[in-house]
Amino acid sequence: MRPLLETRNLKAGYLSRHVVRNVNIEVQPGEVVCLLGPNGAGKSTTLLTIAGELAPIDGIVMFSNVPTFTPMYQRVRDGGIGLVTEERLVFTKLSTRDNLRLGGGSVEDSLSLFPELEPRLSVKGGLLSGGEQQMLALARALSRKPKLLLADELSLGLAPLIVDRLLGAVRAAADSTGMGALIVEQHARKALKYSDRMYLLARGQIQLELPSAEALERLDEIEEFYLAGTSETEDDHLEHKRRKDKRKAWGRLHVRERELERLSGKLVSTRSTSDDEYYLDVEQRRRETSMRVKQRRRN
Amino acid sequence: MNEVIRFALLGLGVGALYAFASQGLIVIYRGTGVLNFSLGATAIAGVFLEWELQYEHGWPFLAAAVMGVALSALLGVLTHWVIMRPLRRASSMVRVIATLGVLITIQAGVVIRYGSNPRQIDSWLPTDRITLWSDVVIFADRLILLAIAIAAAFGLRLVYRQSQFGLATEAVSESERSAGAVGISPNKVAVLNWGLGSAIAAIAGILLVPIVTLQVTVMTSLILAALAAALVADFRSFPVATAAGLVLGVGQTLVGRYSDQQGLGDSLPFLVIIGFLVFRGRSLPLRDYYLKQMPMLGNGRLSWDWMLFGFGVVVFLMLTKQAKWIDALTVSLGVAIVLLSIVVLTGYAGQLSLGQYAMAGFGAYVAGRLVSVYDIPFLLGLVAGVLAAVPLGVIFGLPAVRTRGINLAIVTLGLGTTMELMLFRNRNYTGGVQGTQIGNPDLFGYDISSIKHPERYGIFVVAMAMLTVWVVSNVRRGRSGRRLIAVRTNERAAASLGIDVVVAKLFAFAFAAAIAALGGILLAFRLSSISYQSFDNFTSVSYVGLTLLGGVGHLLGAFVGGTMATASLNQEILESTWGGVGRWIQLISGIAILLTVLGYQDGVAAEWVKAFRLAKKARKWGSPYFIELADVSDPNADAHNNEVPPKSLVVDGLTVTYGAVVAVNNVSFRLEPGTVTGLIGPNGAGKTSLIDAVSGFAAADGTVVIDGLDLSKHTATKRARSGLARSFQSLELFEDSTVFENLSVAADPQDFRSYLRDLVRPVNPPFPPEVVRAVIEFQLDQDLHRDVKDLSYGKRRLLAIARAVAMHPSVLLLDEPAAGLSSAESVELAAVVRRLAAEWGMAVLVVEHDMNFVMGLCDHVLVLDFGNLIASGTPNEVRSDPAVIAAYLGDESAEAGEAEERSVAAARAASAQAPVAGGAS
Repeated sequence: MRPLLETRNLKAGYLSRHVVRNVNIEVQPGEVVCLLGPNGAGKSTTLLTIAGELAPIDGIVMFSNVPTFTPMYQRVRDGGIGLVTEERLVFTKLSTRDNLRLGGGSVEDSLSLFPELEPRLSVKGGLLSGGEQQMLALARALSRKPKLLLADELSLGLAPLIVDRLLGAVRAAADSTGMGALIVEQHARKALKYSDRMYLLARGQIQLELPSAEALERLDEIEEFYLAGTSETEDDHLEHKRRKDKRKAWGRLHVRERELERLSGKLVSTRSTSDDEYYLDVEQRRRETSMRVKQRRRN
Repeated sequence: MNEVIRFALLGLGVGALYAFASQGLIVIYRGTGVLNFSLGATAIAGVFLEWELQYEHGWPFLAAAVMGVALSALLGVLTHWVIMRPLRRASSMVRVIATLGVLITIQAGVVIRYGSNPRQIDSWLPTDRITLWSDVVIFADRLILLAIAIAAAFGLRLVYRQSQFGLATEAVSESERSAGAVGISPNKVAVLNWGLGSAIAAIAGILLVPIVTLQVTVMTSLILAALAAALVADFRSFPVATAAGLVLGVGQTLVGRYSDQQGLGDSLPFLVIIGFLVFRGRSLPLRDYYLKQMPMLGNGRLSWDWMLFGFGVVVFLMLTKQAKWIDALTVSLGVAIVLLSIVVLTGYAGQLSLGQYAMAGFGAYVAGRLVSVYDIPFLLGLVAGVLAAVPLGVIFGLPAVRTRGINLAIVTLGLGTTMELMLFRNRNYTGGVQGTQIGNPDLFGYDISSIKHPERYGIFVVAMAMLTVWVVSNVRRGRSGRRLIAVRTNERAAASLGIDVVVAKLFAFAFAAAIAALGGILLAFRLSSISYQSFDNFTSVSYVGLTLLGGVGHLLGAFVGGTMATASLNQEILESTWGGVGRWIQLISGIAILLTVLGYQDGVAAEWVKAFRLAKKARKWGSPYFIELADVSDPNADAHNNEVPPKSLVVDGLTVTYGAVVAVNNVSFRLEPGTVTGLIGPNGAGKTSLIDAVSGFAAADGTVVIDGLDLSKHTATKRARSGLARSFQSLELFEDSTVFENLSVAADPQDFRSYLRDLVRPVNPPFPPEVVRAVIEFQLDQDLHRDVKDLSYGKRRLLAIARAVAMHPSVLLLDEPAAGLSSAESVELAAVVRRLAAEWGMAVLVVEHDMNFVMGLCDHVLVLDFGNLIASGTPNEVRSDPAVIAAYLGDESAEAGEAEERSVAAARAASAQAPVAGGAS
């Protein structure tokens, strides 16, 4: 079956600084997938990149096998994506009814999902409680019958009973309509209870991919990742630095090669992986020279 | 009584125009968050097209009107598409200037095509008199206009309340990002609203031109009155705006009829604006974006040889050229001095004032009247004029304490226009019909009259310009300049460093007023009779544009801008090479302003400086700019003891609520000197709220006591001065300054005296020993000369902490210091923080997500969840506490206890919209 969502080697972040890399996530129809991870691991960044709010630094986001580059509102409007982000998406000055109408789905559908909202229909969005706001956002997203739901921290700041209610609605929609869902969560236990599969994001990469049932058995392992913090390990750091140097050196050489090509009118050489050491060497030498120059200038 | 009613009814016509125009303003504001100063010009273009089609080409009224409205709508959409959309992430200042650029361009284009003479037009509506009772009559057209205005208001209200388009507009105006997330295209909404708003304004213009005469400037100034009505309605409610517009129109007519005070009626709308913005104290929420660009700042260092060379050339030209060239140079320099005041106020201090030329006029007024009436010497009059402007500058600045950005622009424009209408245009105050006669200015008996000896006057102006440049440069390089730049970049951060934001702003206004007054006096005394009417609001506005064009952050920018003003050097050059260019000059400068805003927001001067630096680098002229730590530090640094006065911080029962949401609930703790305390908790637990409350950035209940001194009622600035420093999660560095300046701002004592001393001699003492230590600790010694924006992310984090440490505080609060650092870097940081506590004796509180970092560093750990303190103890105790693990992973067993819901993150986001002034506590 074609996956609803597939990311290939996704690298995401702000400006040119990446937060996560090598993210390969897949969501099949009817499947609820949760993306777990400690604070600051880059879960929201990943989700926003998939939603189209952030442009990927590298890699591809594919919906139903189609690489997608459109802006967020088009993915939501035309692409069958339902989106619930961390900031609740409730417009505080509009009434609940208007908030629901805004998404383009029918108000009745939303109310049948969350009958709790019915008495609050004419209340302004800003006066709803946190749980009601989140229900509203989720109801609006689901009422459009999306093919894929992307939800960021549905449980943030909410009481456990309400979280059950929200996640239950996602589960039910997935089971009944074949909708796929990617839910980002920090609270592992709840999310695992309602999902089929999980990815664990920590230190900027996917660390674990397990069926949820199995993950529930191995909670202590996940806990370890949570408490270990978000920063890169020493090895990650060195590897990262090495890659960066290599890229820089390669870029520099590449320019020179192209220049030669242009002057002589013929192809010089193509790069192969065995050249890596050479590039690194060149970069090292360049660095030393520039250091010497700096030193001399200072003296 | 009947007469009063008759005049009031007459005023309904103008009132309806205000009402209509304010509806157009509100539509555009709601759709895009832009306050469109160019709306009047956009509308008048449509009105003129209608007039041309109907009267010159004989079209029927309706067809011509449709074409006219379509043209205005098109111009509105183009403005959005070509100019405002690319600028949607620019600072609000730049966006205001962009709409002003559009105003200047369209208005100039209309003048070129149709001229600027007023035209009387017959009404298209029936003008029968309708007798209401006895001798109270009303014209039928007034009644019809009233009905249309009210119908339009309720129609718009219905559209925006009920239709899908209206809902989408509301959603976009609340948050573009959220609107995008529910599938609304913000751009489409913006285009529709721009078109609709411009069309409404054009319809208003076409209907009302018979009442107010067809003239280019009529609509432009009417927009300012419409602004008052829109402000009263909070830029939301159409019926309220309409009512306010009608009341204003009626009030204006009545005041004009019954008050002897000339100009009072016309300035009524501005008085309403000022009163509203100043006394209501709540400012218009503007959409702000995360990455705001500010125009680049020059470093204020003077290159004496280049400056002397430049002014030498000017003096040489003055001595050799004809009078008209001397005059052009004199005007350029005079304008440049006025623009220097904008460089100080808008460039350095970030306060957008649209009243600087009016301020110049006030200086000229005081000096001119003194010289004319009391016959005092010119030089004395000059000094008096400059000094008199200072208190007025403070008055102009008072609104800046409460309002900022675009609101401030509106207030200053209102103040300037009020002054123009009531003072400059009032013949009773300006010497009657013949104007203010000032005779020949002399300098200690030496005649420098511009009529007889233009070169002498010119050289005097050159000397004054040099003096001004020197003083401004002193301020830029001194302590006070650093404070202004801190306030411009980030008021929160400035307050956290103990800078009194209010005083800094008022200083900027007062100083800029003095400079503007000097420029105004020099410009006015060129002629033997002063006509103050030239100090009008439109020139005030276009001078801000010229400054931006020249480079609002650069001393040189003022001079580049000065040459582009009317009657200045550029015009003279163009005129002599290409006759008849005069009528195009406004259009050219309007387009130039737009291009600058779009492409080179830093201005011409900044481009020159960049090019010059590149050339310097390529040719290896001179040495690159580098700050050696040894050069800026106290020589006996080594012997110094770095310890801070030991103070403990006691927080008791701290509660922070945002509306109904409790972000921090009754939290108490103690920080002792020499210890590091960690504060951890899951997302949205209230950690940042807690730090904000302790440091005075969020209102809170409970007490904060430092060393026995109760700070609970103190402002953030005062808390910082009592030895409480903090860093921000979002760093809040002064991005466009160097590392050196960032640290200096923190290390400077916050005295008032420096403001005055800097005028003559900038105060730049060496770094005190503890700052030198901080620089070394945080390994910033090689980066002192670098701009913050060129630093790597890790270095910026370190700088943010170093800046807080440079204040030499007794209590240090760090908000996520290690976020985004690699593990090697965070280990280093932990060691430094440890030393700050152990060797310097600071009491440190660290908020952090990274558990490793906290566990390895802290003596004591506090855990926050849902605003409650759920655990407290040594790192090991906390780590094994089941409640803590539950808080992080979400535990089933802990559910029953906390059924309450909170949306801390949402509430914090909402409250973050209300910016924290320096005075907020």
